[in-house]
Amino acid sequence: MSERPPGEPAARDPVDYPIAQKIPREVLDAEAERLTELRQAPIHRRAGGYARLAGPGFMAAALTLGAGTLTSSMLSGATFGYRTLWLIWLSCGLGLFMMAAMARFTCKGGFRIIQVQNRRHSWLIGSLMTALVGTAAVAVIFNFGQVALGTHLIESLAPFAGFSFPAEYNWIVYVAVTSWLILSYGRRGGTGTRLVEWVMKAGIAIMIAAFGAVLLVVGVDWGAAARGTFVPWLPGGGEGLDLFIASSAAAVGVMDWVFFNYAGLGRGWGRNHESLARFDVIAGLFLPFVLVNFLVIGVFAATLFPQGITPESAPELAAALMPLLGPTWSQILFYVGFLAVPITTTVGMSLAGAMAIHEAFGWEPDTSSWRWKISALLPQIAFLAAWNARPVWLVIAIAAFLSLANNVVGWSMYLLLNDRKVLGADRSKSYLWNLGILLQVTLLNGIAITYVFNRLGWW
Amino acid sequence: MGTAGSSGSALQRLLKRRIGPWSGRVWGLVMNLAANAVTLWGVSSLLRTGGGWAWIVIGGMATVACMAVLAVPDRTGDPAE
Repeated sequence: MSERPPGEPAARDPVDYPIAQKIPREVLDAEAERLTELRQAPIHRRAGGYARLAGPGFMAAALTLGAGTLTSSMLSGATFGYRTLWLIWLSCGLGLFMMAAMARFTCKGGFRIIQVQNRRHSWLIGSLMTALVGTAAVAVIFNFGQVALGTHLIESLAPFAGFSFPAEYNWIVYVAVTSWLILSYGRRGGTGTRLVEWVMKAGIAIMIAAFGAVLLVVGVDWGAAARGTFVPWLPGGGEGLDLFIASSAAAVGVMDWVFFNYAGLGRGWGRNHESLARFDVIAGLFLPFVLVNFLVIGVFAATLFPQGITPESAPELAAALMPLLGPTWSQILFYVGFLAVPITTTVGMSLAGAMAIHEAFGWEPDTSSWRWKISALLPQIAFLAAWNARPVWLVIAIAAFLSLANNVVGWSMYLLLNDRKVLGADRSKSYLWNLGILLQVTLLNGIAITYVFNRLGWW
Repeated sequence: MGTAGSSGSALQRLLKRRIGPWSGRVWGLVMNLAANAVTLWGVSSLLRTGGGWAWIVIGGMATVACMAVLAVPDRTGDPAE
């Protein structure tokens, strides 16, 4: 990075993504100026400055830390105690190589990933597998789980305030709050985007504070936790392999990749932002993901595991935990922290879905248009989950498509990172980076293969 | 990594070369998928019948080889490298 002569304005790349074009030029220039200053600052000041400017990584973490991930961690803690803690940092850590590729595409490439996939690898890989199946359909289907959990938690919290508020009615509050946040994104000259990012960061902070406080109440077996963090252990037989493959490959997936690329473009990121983007991936995505999962596993390892209680769903797990938490405030705290999980995931997934739908059909995203609003609010059809309605056949179909499509999307990303025609001199020149991505691709292959073997009765 | 670097140019040419519909890199990904399938077939046999170690070893070695080759980046043709 060359230094600018004094007084010369911070150089910015042309901003192509319509959501970023709504941000006033002087705001983008001031951010570029700040980044240049931070690059020369001592490391602690740089980290603080980057943390304030970061956003898409935190949003990706909030999106990933959903009902499914947290239920899986609760079950792991209740069933295996602390012994699977190592899987959390390993699985998310493996995903960092691919996220670094997304940072490269966004900052140095400056392109929209799905458009480039369509051009280089056909619409089947870009529009269909990445945008419609891997992102938009997932946003709609997985939101059923978020709404079911969110409305259940509101219903569970209401009695603490002295009234009853069943899921059949409180879904209106859930959908209203999340819809307001979703529709704020990209509005009011970039302040809407900042507001959503701030809420996502606050959501993660609430999860950490709430689960951390609950963990302090129930106590930690530090020795067992340290062993679980650093000594790999898996249950024997097929169960262990299933757990390893699912955890390793599912932590950071296609939706996170796509979302990070488009959210970065939506912030007007350019060539000067790659260091910030990498910081955002580590401090915004990796650390919160690992910390929240550690805390949740810790709570259930300290409470349900010693008693041999292993309920199967998130509401059952939470209900089983309540009598073991002791004081009322710790129960409320757990529910509040837990409520931040589905809310932030609904918002993140809906935005990712809207971006993906627009790319799949070649529409320019205009956040004030009806087309954007309808695309973004499409996942809210999941309000039906308040009555336990779940489109089971659709869930099965999407799971099948996802299992078989994710690895091919991973191949596409690896190929683009090594494609001279796409990135020119900015393509990957690192053996280690490629190897990290190939490890994740191989794990995604493993999921596709075990899915087929399972269907054929061989697994 | 040293190995990759010393035989890099031959491998880089192979990975860039178009063979039929695809480049060497894409064929490498297809071979990696096949090797992964062989390994998991061995694991599935091991879980069902107690045998299948040969498949695991062959598939595992092929997977490692594919990844080692595919990880070689294209460093050719850029000035000042």
